[in-house]
Amino acid sequence: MHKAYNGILAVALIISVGAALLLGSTHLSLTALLQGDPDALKLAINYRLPRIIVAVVGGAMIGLSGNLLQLVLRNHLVDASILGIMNGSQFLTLCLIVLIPALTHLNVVIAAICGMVLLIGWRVVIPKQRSTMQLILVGIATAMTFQSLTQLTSEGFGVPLPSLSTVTWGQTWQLLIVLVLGLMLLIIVWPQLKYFALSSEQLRLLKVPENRLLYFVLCIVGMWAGAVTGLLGVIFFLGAVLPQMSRLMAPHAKSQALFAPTALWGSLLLLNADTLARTIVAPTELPTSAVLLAISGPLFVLLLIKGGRKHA
Amino acid sequence: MLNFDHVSYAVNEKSIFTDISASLIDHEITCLIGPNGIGKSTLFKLIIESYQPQSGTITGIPDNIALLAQQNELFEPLTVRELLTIQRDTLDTEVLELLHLTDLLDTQIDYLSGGQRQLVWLGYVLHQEPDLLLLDEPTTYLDLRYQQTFLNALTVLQRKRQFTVLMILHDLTQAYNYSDNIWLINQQQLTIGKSHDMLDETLLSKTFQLPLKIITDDEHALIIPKN
Repeated sequence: MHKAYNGILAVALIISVGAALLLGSTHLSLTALLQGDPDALKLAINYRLPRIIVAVVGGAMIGLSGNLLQLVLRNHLVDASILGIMNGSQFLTLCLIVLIPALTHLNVVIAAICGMVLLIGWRVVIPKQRSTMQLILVGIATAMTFQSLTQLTSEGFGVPLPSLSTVTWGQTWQLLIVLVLGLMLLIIVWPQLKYFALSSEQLRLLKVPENRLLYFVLCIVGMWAGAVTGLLGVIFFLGAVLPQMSRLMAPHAKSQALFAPTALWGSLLLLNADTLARTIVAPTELPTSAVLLAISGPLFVLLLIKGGRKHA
Repeated sequence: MLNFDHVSYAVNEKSIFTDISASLIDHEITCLIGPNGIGKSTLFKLIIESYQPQSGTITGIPDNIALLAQQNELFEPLTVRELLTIQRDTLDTEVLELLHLTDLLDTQIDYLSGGQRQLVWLGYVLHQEPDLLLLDEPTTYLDLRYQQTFLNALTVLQRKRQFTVLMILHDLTQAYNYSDNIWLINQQQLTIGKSHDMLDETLLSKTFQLPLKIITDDEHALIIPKN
């Protein structure tokens, strides 16, 4: 069942990648690309390909970071955006770039480091178990605060905010490096993740070093969420919604079994939202993050209503 | 041997225990009884070192402690097999048979009844092969049949494997019939004795502030309200 499910999602993703490569304000034809038409190739390789890679990889990273965070916090309603980490790292990155303009070209890596530092800082400041609703409300208030600070700084200093439409190959490579780094850390911690099925008290009795595992995972989540923010801006709720979307199709699957479908759903959603944003009123491009929020917002509301009784 | 030496513990200046001293007898079953809110679970937290006493010391805490609560949280949809083998690879067939879990191994725990689930959790703690097993009102939500299965399996395995048990129970009849020793907590103090020596109507009535009657035969005791 899982293989078929992942297979369907993978095929859908391949079709979406094809569509994203060919569709846009200038439609490309497959034959032109295959015949090596220099103009078509230039457009595809310089503009569309990095954007597609960023959408596919970024979407997967959002999904995976949401899934990981929900697993280790034992809470199905959170993600890095809801805790305010995405907005926070966006603001911090912006401040660093304003202070040291030379860092502009490393903005994705800087954002990854900011995300990591902020998420770990968050855990230190809010160490104890809080109720889900309290976490969400505090997080959203934090996010809103950082959002307005970001806006003020961005407009005040005339520094543009990141967006998919300005993605370069340099940024794409940075994102891929962060992805690989996170995956390497994930492989190390993977066999231990099963322990988060148990309560903290049971883990202490089993002498499982829960805090060490938790901080390890928070590094991965913060790094990924930060890097994605550095490239796409803040995408609200998506990380919280994606694991639940993949769970709908496999309701009895454990979080670790949902990693692949969650990543695939993330890639699919982000890529198609971007293609939609590029084509729907072409040649004008709509902001991809707004298109995504129009999808993820209502889904999160559904999640709250459906899960509210269970998790509040 | 787990040993409390003049231990006092207070929460927000409200004293829970004052100067209690006690030793838990190894390889036996001890039941901890006392009214609600008197600090029975707090005593467990002191043993597993979640809380630290304000004065006095607790020594001889075994390395390998397992804890079973009245309701145990599970945050992932594990099967019985996955839970039992979460830390070790092998299944204990004797435990599985005594707890009637052999046929349920590949069932997801969420789908089991409350009674079956509690037997699964007993299986989980037993698979840890603990030196000390703490049970916090393990039978509270179980029907009579599951209470019997639970307590019988526990006693059989304890006699055989000789681990030490400290168990909080609210059902006084069960507490007396399934234990070797009784620890009775009241008014910040601990009264300790062999179970049959502790069958004292006056003491129990005073502790629970309810006139109680004890009916005994050679082997069993039945403790019920007088009126």
